[in-house]
Amino acid sequence: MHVLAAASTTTPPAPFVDWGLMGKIALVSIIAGVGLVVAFSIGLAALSVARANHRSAPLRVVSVVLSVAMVAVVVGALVWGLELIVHKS
Amino acid sequence: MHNSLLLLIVVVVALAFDFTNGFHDTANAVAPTIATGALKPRVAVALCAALNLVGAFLSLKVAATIASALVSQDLVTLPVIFAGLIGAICWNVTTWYFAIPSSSSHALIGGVIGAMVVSAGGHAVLWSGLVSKVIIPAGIAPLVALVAAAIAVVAARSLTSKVDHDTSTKGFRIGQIGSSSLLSLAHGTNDAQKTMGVVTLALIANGSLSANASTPKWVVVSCAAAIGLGTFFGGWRIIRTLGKGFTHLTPHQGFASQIASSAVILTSSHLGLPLSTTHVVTGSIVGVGAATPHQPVRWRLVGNVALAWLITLPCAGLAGAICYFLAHAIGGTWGVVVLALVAAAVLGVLFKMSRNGSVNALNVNDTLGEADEADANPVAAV
Repeated sequence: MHVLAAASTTTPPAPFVDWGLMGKIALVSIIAGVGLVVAFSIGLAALSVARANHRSAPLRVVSVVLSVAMVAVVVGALVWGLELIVHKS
Repeated sequence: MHNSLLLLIVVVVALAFDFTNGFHDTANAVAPTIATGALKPRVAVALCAALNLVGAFLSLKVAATIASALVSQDLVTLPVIFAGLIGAICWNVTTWYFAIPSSSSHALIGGVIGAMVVSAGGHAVLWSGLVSKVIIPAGIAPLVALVAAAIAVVAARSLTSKVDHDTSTKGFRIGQIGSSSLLSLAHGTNDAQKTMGVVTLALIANGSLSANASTPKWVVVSCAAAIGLGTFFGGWRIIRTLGKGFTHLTPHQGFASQIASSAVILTSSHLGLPLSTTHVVTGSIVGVGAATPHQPVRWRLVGNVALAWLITLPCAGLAGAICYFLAHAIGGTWGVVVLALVAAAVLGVLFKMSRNGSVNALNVNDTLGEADEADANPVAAV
């Protein structure tokens, strides 16, 4: 009885290969990598639109704001990457 | 006296490994940046070296030594560390000579395990740790990077298809400098600390440091200097393989591959399973090439590099085992001294041979065939 009770509360042994962790690394890496490239590309496209549109002031303002916002996202991510390097787990 | 001499040799050899680690892995951070013209070769390598140096000081948390999860730490001796380091250096220099990007970490792990098997037997190696923490992640790292980079480059191409060429090229090149810098910092932090761990382990094994003592400042400074100097010398051969060998990189491809590499390396490191920078960067470069229509990827070269990755652990292990056996056969500290001199002589010959087909800052951006022609009139460089 005691043995059964002990067995039921014992934590299962760690898996030989932590596939869950590997999957998490793959998923987060792909989302982060693709997301940053998408953000930077949108920023460049918006910058190009802003440069090309001399007539439509509102479109130009929106493009510049979008461009700055997207580049800020990428710069923020790089700074966060630096933070991860400094305070690595 | 003998222990002090042995310790001194081990520390010097560890710093030599750190140096080879630096010049072997320069390519990981700068190859796409140089290949796309985002930075001039010398500038890119100098920036990478400076950031590797800074990176070595950034985090005070020294990475766990490779021994902790892979071999029984109480059986680690100075000759084992020495033989493992010599095995790793031999593999690093050999793969550099043949311009093959391979993992310095795997070379070190292989070398130490080989020496350990001869020293204490197979039971001293934690084989399950080797499979779960080294071999399986080594297979997954390039695949994850390849997929991330392939999706990223398709997205970048689609989103910037109507952007004028100058804005696109200039923008992605600037982005490349940022991502390359981040990779260099991450490399300095991870790899310099790996050698710091080895030197600290040697000091502990020799009784010069208590088991729970922190890493001495001189170890931190010397390891940072060694990896920075090694990076500054620039492993031009491997830079050419990564930047021009697999495929032709354009700025948006270079940016996509470097951001994908940074994402994989930082995510894996943060989640506690650091992956090989070399495997990740190679995977992402091949990924951007494979995802671009009508762009050839040299799959034969990819296959050769993959084969080199497969044999890194056993070859470095064999070198480490032979080194330990010979040092032990000669006996004592003098065995280590003789072997260190022989290894230095062999590596010197290899460096001299490399001058005949030198790749340098001037011809690093030539395609493989063009560079071979340029070898007829080589400019002295590493």
